[in-house]
Amino acid sequence: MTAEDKGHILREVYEDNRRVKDRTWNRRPKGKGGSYWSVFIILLVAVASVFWFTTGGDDAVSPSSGDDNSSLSLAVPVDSISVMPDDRGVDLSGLTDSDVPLSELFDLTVRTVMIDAGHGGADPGASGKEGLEEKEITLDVSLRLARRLRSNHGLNVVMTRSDDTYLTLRERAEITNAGESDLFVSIHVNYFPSEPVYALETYYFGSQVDETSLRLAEIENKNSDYSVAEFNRMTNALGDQIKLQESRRLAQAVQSSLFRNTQRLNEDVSDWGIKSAPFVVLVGVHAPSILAEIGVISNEDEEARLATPEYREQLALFLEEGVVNYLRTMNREENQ
Amino acid sequence: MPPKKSNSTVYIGIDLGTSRSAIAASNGKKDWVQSYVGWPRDFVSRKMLGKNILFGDEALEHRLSLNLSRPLEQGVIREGTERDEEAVRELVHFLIEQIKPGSATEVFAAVGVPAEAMRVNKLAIRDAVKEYADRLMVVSEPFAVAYGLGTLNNSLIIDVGAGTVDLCIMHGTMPGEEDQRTLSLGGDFIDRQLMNLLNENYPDASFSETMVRSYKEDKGFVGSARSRVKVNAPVSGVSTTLDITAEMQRVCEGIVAPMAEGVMDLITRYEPDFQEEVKKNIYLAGGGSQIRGLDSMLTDSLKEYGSFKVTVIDDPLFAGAEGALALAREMPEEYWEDM
Repeated sequence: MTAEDKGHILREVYEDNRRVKDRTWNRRPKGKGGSYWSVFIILLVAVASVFWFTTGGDDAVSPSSGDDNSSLSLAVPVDSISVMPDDRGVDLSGLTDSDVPLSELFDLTVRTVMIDAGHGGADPGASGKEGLEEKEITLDVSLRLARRLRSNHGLNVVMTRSDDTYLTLRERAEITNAGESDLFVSIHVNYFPSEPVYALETYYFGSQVDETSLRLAEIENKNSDYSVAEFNRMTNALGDQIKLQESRRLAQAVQSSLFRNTQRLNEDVSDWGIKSAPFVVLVGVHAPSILAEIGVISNEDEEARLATPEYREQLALFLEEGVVNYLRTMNREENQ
Repeated sequence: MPPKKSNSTVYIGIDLGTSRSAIAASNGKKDWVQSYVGWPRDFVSRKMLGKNILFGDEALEHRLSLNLSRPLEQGVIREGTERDEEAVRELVHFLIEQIKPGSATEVFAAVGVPAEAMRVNKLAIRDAVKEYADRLMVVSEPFAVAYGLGTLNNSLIIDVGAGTVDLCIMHGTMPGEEDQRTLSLGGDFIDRQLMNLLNENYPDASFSETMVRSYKEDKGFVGSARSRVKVNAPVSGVSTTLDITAEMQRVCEGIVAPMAEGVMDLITRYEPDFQEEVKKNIYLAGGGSQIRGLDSMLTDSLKEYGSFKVTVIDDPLFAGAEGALALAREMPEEYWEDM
């Protein structure tokens, strides 16, 4: 090995340690550049509003006259409300053709992670034969994951619920959007009562779907609290390429870690990979989002494992590894 | 952290392992300690022991009077216990004290940790070590070993530790996620299996964890036994000699197949042009590399995939620490500036 080769390796060690030390996921060194994300959004909103006012928007403008909503200067019919930022002819195709993930193009940083413990309160989720409830597992694993991401990686971590309360899917999405989270991870446990299955899978926000995913989404979307109209509008705004790309990558990283690590503990587990599905909670959240099915509660052996704190801690570790691996690829140094 | 006004600099390499931790310094000093830290349970123990904290063999010896911690169990700093992080901090402090840096000396440290800890505890480890070192870099253990051996390209390091077996394939760069595999069946796993088997076969005998570990460390083997494995244990209170050859062989051999699988998993994903070279450059490191016959048995079990050469490294106790030391010394000045 030449001195030059060794030099490269030593540099890599330095950079790896530097990243940990800086404790942020900024791609650029401190003090230079910054996030272009806010500039991008402002630009899009500006362009979109210009289109709005010069094309279809005008007809809907009428002076308010004794309306309930007299505080609004525009009284606009409900069905022409559009979801920003993509539906008024703003052309993003030039950006999305490139091989470089958009998040890197715009130097997007991740600071806040929202963890969503599935079900809760009056909604126990699925139950195993011994009576273990999904909501208990999702909460425990979520709390452990939150702690790990906070203390090991300095991330700001928030949770939709940190105790046994009931939240609709819409509430979970709104809490997440209000908090301006950069990532959304929802934790669930699978349920296949008629088959002795043991598999892991991770869903991400995406447009292509298959029958099975649609059916699963239907069940999980039961407590949504969105009207059909609102939901359709949201799914139509699937031009959000950044969210799509990043959700997929996050799902890959998390599923890969979950499966690889669980397989070491239990050879029987199957890898059902990543799938896109119209889960309300994934569609409603603005940030890249995934839903991880971390086990199968209808499987007897699994239920026994899922009841133990040790195994839940392991699952939190595997999820942590997945999220961290995703963040590292976001931060990957390109050849300079 | 601004450097102290100092007369000298010492470079150190530290190997933090589940079972053993070692240090090697540029002033020529070396030391190692069993990775145990103990605090007296109450003021009576404190008075009897005369110290606030004990390490290694001493901690083990007095374990009944101590709150004992083995902070890198399973190759990671365990969750939820500030005590484990405290233990790592104290362990590092203890090791650094052993090489006597002197108060006016700046300490530049490179620390090797098990691959799992590298994945999830980087920040915790930095926090634990930086109190006692002026500059610090953290690397994975198998990489530190490779660095010390100079085998940074087309080679495979198998670090057989107590918590985990870490496999790491080297291709001339710092290893990434995809270059490593971690098996959770290390020395501790073997101890547990051995304990279970012995309790089953000798129900009247009493075995402690420490005893079982020492049997393995002294007489662990795979393949054909050169001599019978005879150990002493109390049977119904009477010290008796037992022949545990079959049990020892069985539990030690239990890790060979998964290791072989890990090796092939990494090699098959490697650049095809260089796979043959990697096969000839496999190194066994870590405490577990001392299991007699492990290198031959591993070579045998891989026979159907080609011709392999597995080498047990010299001085597995200090290989990681020496490798980390070499890295610390060769790291350019300007990179140390930022740490």
